[in-house]
Amino acid sequence: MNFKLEPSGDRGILTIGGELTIDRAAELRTMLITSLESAENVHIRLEAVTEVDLSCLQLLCSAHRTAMNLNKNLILDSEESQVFRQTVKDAGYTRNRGCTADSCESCLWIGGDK
Amino acid sequence: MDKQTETYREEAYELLAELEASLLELEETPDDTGMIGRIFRALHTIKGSGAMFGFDDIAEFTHELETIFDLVRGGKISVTKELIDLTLSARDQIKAMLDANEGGETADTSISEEIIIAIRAFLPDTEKDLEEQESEIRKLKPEARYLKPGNITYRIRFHPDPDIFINGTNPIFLLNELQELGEARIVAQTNAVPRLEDIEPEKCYIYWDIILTTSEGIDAIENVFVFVEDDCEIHIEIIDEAGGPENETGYKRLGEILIERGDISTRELLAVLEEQRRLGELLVAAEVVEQGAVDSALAEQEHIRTVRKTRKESTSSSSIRVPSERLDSLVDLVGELVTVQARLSQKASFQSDPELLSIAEEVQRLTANLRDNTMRIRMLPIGATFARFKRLVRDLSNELGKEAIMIIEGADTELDKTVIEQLNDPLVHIIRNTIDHGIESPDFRESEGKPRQGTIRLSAEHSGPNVLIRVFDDGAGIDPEVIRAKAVEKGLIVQDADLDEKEILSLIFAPGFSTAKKISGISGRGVGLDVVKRTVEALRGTVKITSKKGKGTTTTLKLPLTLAIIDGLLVKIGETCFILPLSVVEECVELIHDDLTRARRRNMMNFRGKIIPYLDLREAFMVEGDLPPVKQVVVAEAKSGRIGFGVDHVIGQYQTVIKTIGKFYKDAEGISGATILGDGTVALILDTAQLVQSVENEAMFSV
Repeated sequence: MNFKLEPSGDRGILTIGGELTIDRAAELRTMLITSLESAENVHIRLEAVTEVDLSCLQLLCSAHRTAMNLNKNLILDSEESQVFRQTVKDAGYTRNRGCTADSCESCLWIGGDK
Repeated sequence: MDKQTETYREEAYELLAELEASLLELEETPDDTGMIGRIFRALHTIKGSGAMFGFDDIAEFTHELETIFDLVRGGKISVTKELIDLTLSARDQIKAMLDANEGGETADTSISEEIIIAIRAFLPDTEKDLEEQESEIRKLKPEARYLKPGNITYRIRFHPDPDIFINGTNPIFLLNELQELGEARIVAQTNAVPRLEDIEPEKCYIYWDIILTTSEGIDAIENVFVFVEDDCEIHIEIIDEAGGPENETGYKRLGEILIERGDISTRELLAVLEEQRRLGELLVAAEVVEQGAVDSALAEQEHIRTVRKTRKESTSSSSIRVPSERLDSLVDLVGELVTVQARLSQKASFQSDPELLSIAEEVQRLTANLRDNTMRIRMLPIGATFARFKRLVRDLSNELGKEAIMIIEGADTELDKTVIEQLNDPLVHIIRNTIDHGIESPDFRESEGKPRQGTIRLSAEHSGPNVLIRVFDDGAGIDPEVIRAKAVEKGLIVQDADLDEKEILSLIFAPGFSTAKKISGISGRGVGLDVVKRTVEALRGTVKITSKKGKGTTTTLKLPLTLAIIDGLLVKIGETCFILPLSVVEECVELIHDDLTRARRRNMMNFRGKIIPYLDLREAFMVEGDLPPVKQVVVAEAKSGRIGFGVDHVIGQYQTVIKTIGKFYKDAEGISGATILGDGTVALILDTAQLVQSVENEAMFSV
C-alpha cells in the first residue's frame, strides 16, 4: 500500500494490492484516512490484488461516505482486478443506484462487472 | 396411474436416454465440462422429481450417482472408463426401477446395492464420511430431504453478527453457497456503514437481502446458515411458489414488499401516499381531462394486462406433449377426410355447377394442406433412435473384444414416427452383424494396416420422397466366394449358377442364410438379415448391400417418408382401378404394338430405343373384358432397372390413403394395400417390386 500525492497537489493516488483482507483492515483504514486528509481528489488504484474480503469493501464504502462528508472526491478503479470485481458481485454490492448517503451520485459500486 | 406420475415416467425415460447419450459422448471427450454438467442435471432431475412423485427408491439410488458427478463437476474425480461403465449400468438399473413401477418385473435390489457399493468406491475418503452422515440424515427424515414441490422463491434476510469476521466466517462463502442452490439476487445493505473516523474495521455493518429461486427445500437454505444461525438473524420466507396465488399484474408493488419486510409500517406508507395523489386524480383536478376518460384509460390498462397474461400463458407452452394414439387417430381422420374430399371432387366434376366446383377445389386445397401438416406432426428426427445404437456398439464390441466407434450423420433427418419405430429392429440386426462379421479384432486390424478401432458410420439423408439410411463399416467386407459356397451348401443356388457379385451379395438376405462359423450370442443364428429384408419391405422400402473385400461394407435402406398417405397414379384395367406409387413412376406412354417383342415367354418392349421388360397387368391379374383400342404403359423404376406395366387407361395423380388389407390377403403377391376411391370403390395399391419378383420366379420355374 502506498499513497502518492501528485505534484499539482490536488490529486492523490492510493495504490492498494495483495491481500485486502481483515488482517490488513486497520492498516487500510489508516491509509484511507491519510489519503483523504491530504488530497481533494483521491484515486484508489488496485494493483495485483490476490484476495479481497468484505472488510475491505466495507471500508471503501465508509471512505466514500467520509469523502462526501468532506466534499472531496473518491474514485475507485477496479478495471484491472478480476478478483476484486468478482468479490463485489458475490457480496451483492453491485448497484444500479447509490444508497441514501450517496448525495453526489458517485457510488463506487454502480455498474458492476463489466 | 395418475397423470403426474405418468408425466414423471415419460420425462424420466427421456432423461435416461439423454443421460446415456451424454455418457457415451463424455467417454470420447472426458474433459467436456458441458457434458458433465448435462449428466449432472439429468441425474439431479431424475432424483428430485423422483422423490416428489413417490419414486423413493429411484431418488435414493440416483442420489449416490449425483454425488459422484457433483465431484466430477468440481474436478475432484476424473472421468474414467470404469466410471462410465458403472454409470451406464446404474442408468439401466434406474430404467429397470421405472419399468417395475409401471408394472413390469421388480428391479433386483441386490444389483442396486452392488452398484451403490461400486459407486462409493469412487468417493474420496472425506466425501465418504460426509456421504455416510448425509445418508443417516436422509434415513431420519426422508420427506424433509426430498419434498421439493417445483421451484420456490424465497426471500432471505441475513443479518450477521457484527463480530462475524472475527469469528472467522466469511459471509461471501455463505452467499456463494446460496448462489449454488438456484437463481439468486443478492443485495448488500450498506446503510449502516459509518464514516472512517467511527468505523471499526473488524466489525460487520452490512446485512443482506437475498431473493432465491430454487428447487431445493427450505432446509437446504437453513443448512447454508447452520454454523452461524446462533449469532445471526436469519429470516426465510416463501414469496412465490407454483400453485400459489398469483397477482395478475405481475409481482407485488413496492410498498407491499417494503411493508412485508418490515422496512416501513403500513401507517408510514399511507402517510406518504396521502401526500401523493394518483395521476388520474391530479389530471382531473387540473381540469385537463374528464373523469370518464381516466376511467376508460384505466380500463384499457386493465384489459391489456389481462390480454398479455393470456398471451404469456400461450407462448410459454410452445410445445406440448400429446399421446401418440391421438396423433394416429388424427391421421386416420385426415385419411377419411381425403377420401371424402375425393368423392366430393368427383361429384362436383360430374355436375356442371361452377359454384360446387369451386367449393370442391377449395376443399381439395385445404385437405392437401391439412394432410401435409398432419404428416409433418408425425415426423420425428431419427437422431434419438440412432443415439441408442451408440450404446449397442459399445456393449457389443466390449463383449466381443473388438474396438469400434459409431459416427452418426444426419441425426436431424425426419421420418414418419411409425417408420422410425419399426426401423429399430432391422438396424439392430444390421449393426450386430457389422460388429460380429464386419469389424475385425484390433490386432488383426493393426496387422492389416488399419486403425485398431473400427468405424461404423450410421447416416440418414433425404432423397426425394424417400429416406436413405446407410450403415457403413470399415471392416473385413464380404467375400463373394464365401457367400456363394455357403449358398450352394444351403441349397439356395445351384453349383454353377451364373450370378454377378450384386446377386451373390443379395443372397445373404435369403431366409436361413448364415455364414458365421460358430454361433455367438449376437449373430449367426440364421435369423437376421432375411428378417431385416422382410421388415423393410413391409415398410415399402428396399435394402441393398455393397461390399469390398478388406475395405468394408455398406448396407443401404431406402424407406418412404411416410406410410399413411402417398401420392399415387390411378390406372384402370377393365372396370377395376389400381394405384401405382407415384414415387416409382417415371413416364406414361402409349403402347404401339410393334414395340412389343416376346422372348422366353417374357414380354419385352422397346422404350426409347432400349429393350425393357413389359408386364401386362391385365394378364397378371387375369382381368376379363374388352381390350381398349390403345393400351397405355406406365414405365416404372424397379430394382433391376426400368419396367413397363401395361394398363388400359391412365387416369391421373391421386392422393392415396393407404388402408391395410386384411390378414386373409396377406399372401396375395404384388399388392401392398388398398385405398377407397371417391365413388366408394376399392382400388388395390400395387407393389411393383414384388410384382416383378413374382413374374421372374414364375418365368424361372417355367423354363
